[in-house]
Amino acid sequence: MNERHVLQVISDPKDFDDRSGNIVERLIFNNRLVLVAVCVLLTAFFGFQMRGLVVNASFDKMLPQSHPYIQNYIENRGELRGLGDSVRVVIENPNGDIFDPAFLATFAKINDEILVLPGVDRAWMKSIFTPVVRWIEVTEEGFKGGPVLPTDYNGSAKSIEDLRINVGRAGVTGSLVSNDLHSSMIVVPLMPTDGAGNSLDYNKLSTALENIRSKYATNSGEGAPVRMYIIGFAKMAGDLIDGLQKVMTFFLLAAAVAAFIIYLFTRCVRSTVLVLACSLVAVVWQLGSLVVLGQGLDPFSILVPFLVFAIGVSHGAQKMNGIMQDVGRGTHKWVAARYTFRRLFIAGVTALLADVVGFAVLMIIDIPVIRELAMTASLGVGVLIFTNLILLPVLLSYVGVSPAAAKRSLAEETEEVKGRGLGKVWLLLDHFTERRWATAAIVVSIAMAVGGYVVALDLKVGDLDAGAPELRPDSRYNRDNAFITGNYQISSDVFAVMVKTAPEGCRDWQTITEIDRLSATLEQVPGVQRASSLADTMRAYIGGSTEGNPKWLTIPDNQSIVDGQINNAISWNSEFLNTMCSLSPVLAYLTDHKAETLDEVVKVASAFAEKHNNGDRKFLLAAGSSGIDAATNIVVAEANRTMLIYVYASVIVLCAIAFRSWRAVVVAVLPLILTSVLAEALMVKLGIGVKVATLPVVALGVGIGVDYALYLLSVQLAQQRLGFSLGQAYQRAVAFTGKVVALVGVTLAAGVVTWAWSPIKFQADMGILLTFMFLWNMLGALILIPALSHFLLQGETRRGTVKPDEATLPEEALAEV
Amino acid sequence: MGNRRTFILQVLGAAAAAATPGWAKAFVHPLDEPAMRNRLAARSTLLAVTGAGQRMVAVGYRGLVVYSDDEGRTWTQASVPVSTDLVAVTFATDKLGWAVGHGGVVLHTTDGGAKWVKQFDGRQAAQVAVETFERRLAEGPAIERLLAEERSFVDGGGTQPFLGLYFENERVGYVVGTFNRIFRTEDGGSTWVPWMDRTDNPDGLHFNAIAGRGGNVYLAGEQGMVWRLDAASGRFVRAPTGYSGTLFGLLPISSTTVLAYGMRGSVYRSTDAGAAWQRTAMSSLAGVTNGALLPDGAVVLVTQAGGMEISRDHGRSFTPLKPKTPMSYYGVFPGPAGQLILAGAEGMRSETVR
Repeated sequence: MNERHVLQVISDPKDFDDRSGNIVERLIFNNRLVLVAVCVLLTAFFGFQMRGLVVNASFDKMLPQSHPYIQNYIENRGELRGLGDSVRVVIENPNGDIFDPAFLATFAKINDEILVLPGVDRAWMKSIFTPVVRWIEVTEEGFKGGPVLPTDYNGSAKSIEDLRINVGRAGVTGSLVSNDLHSSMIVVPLMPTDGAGNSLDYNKLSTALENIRSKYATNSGEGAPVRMYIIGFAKMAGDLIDGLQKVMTFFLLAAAVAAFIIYLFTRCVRSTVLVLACSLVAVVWQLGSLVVLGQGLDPFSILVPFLVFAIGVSHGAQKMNGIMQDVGRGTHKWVAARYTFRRLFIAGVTALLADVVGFAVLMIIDIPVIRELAMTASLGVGVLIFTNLILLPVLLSYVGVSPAAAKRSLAEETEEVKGRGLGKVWLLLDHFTERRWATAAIVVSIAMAVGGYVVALDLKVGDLDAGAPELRPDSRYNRDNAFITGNYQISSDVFAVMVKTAPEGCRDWQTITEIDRLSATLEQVPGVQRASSLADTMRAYIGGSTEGNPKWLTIPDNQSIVDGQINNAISWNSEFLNTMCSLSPVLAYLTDHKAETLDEVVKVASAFAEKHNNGDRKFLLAAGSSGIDAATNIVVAEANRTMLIYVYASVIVLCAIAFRSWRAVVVAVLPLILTSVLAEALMVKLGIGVKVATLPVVALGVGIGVDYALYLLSVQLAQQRLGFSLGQAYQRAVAFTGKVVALVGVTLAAGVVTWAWSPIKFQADMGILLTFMFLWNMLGALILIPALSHFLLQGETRRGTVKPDEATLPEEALAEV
Repeated sequence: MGNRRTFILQVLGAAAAAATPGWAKAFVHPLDEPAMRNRLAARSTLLAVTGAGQRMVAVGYRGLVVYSDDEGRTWTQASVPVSTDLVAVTFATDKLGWAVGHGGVVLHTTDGGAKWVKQFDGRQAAQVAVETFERRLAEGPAIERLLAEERSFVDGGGTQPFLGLYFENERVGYVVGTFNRIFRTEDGGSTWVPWMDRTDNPDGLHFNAIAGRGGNVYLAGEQGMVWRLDAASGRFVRAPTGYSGTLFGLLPISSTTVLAYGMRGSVYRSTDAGAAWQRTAMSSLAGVTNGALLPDGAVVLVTQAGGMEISRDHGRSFTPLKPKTPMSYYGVFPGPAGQLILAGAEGMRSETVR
């Protein structure tokens, strides 16, 4: 025991007893070559695997799978035409209305090209050029009807005139033809998987649509140039993936910033390169293992490589710090590496485990993209234990550090402990251990917490902007969306209630009457623009079958009258019933997708369902984009609470284990709570709602934020237990770890701040919030830990022990515990 | 054994029935369900509009009734005990009014349209008809046939709607509907007498409307058919327009001049109380749904396609008007000075006639 706790300065490795240290250390450092070889092989393997790395986004993976609304939707999606995943393409004639032979020729070509794109559900594609779109008219001879596109259409003036008449009597103005008749829409339903069972490649589809757009947008293309507007999840996902590729370049920027910071810190090229290289190796392993696990990157998990890299760099830098000081004292690099490993492995593992906890609690969120993020991130941080806690010291034991830098580092720390150089900053922080400053800091914090809390009361759940909130308001996609909502009477926010009956049950006049009631009830909700359902179709068809007499725009209680029109609806492919006549959606078109709007619709629809469900029919919530939004909001709001509870609980447990003092736990956790409150206030001020993208931020902010407290407090407590007063102990702790805390804060922030310029709105939001949380947690730790310690941790100083010489460096004092 | 088993099954069945009352909620027929409060009442589909003194009253989908005391600027929803679709409304005095619709409902108001009560419905109508014809069975095969018909409606399930109504005064009135069905009251709607035996309608055509002016009462229905009440015989006698399609309504503009209108822009005019008819040209093929006689003698007809045509020569010829904000029109009523109050697919609107 005696020889173990003194880390002597050993300048010749021959003097070092390589049987010293624990088994892990011996296993690693006595087999260095094997370890390096294994790592090289693994890196090569994973690097090779990265060829197969795909970036995609999946509609299904964004769904909160076990929420009853989503289960209802998934169970019935096959029967819900036009409510699933679809793309809307609008083609505009810049030189007039759509009844122009050249324009219609181009429209027909685009229609045909889109029809054959992979993933398109051809049978249900709707445009004025597809046979499923029909007109109905009543004449003296009875009901007349046919496809909107005249069967003998040949582009002649006569057939265009017929088309114009059919468009008029089909009532598609506002849905398939714009209000001003200058553009026409193609509604393209998509199949989630192709014939072979492969999931739809959104990026490919989006690119294919983009190619069609550029082909017909210019004069060089065939026919007259047209303008195209494309919206739908697939297009948005495609744009997101394009955005992600831009985000990749941010990675280089983040790496450059990190390199600069490390160099500033170490002033040693060798160690800077080593730290960056090991962190990059971690990223390669992480990405490679994704491919091995059969996963890819999506707009959410793209953040993982950034964080893994940033965390790796900050932990690597600490290793450097220790080794440098040992080398500065004259210890041989191999021995120095082992000493550092001995000193910091457990602390490093604890800190990384805290990060893993931050990621792992995300697993409780029942949304596959977040689960995958949690898994790949835990994996990435786990990888860091190998690359930056094991491989890095081993490589350092070969490469060593620049002797000048090592001397400089040691000198600096000595200065700092004495309160000179950077130590002046630490001395300033030291004041917070005194009553006056501590009180002031705590009063200010309480004021901020109260203010933040009041502001955060306005925190909204869900997306707050119109269009696709994932993208910036001025993005092409959102401009297209604005054009389409401006020129068509369709809202992209659709809330659907599924009315489920036994087969043939949807034709029951009672069912249709209930559908009509539900539709009318939903229209009473202020956020509902319009509702539409099978009941409207029946009113129209029954009115039509009685010569168009408006007095017959009704749902009679005579089953035989209803039956005939249901048969018509089935044979004319109404999207309001399935072929078995067992499912009929009631659609509410909403003015927006704000949480209050969705809440109100959900409330009204559930109350209706509660009152009207019986053995004959059930009203199931919910499908449509807004149905999914509503379910997601409910899950996210709940997850936000439970996740905070879990992440704080686990952080408290970790701190309790590390500090063995409830007072120290309070000191560590209170600053984090302040940051969480302020982050919510910031979200309110920036107009960011609680959503899928902000959940990881909240968890990470706390999980990684506690690192600072772990570093600072563990040293401070140890020094206090050695007999130093609180003031001295904090000064020594901050001199030893303050730089590391600052370094961690700055490198983590540098890793994510670049996202603020991402074309993807939610990544920008995440970047801003994470940067704020990383930096603010750092400040909170440096200021509030001493202030809170003043009130809570004075008693930790052990009286009567022999206090070491104040000139001893903290880690030397520690080593002698 | 068998008995015992049946008994157990019965007990189980009863237990199951008792265990599931919570969700086994029975369907409520719209005749038994009051109209729901409608935030957008004046913007919901309304099928007919009329006047009650200074007040305007309109009826529409799901038992919706609205009234306006400020010439159509603002509308208030009335209290209605049913939620069936209402299709026609009329007032005999400023206060006393009736409305009819699906479910065979007849509603009555005594306060100018703010509060309505149900006087009669399709179930009662069937019962009254069956009982009446059963009592009169001895009168011969015609009654026998009518009884068989009424019974077949009952057996078919559901109710027959009333599509039109006309009140000569606050006591005497008629309601008409599908399959030759017509009832008459002489006590302001308290009791109704079947009049199916007093129509020359051997094919049982639907009656879509009934109207009267200056002592003449007319019915309009399928196959271009009009009937006129012959005072001497007390029967509705045939007065065919010659048109083959369906007529939606009638607009008597003097004691002898009457317009009949219907699908595909069809308008027929008679100046001799229906004895002879001439077709009047309209500018579009859209179904003509309603008409109004303005205080200055002009006649306005409105269409399903949002068209509006005016005649200043008692219906001999029409010229189109251009509405500011067209919609599918279902009802029209003269408002104050040059205004038309319109009911339609998008609710209540008003337009100015120049």
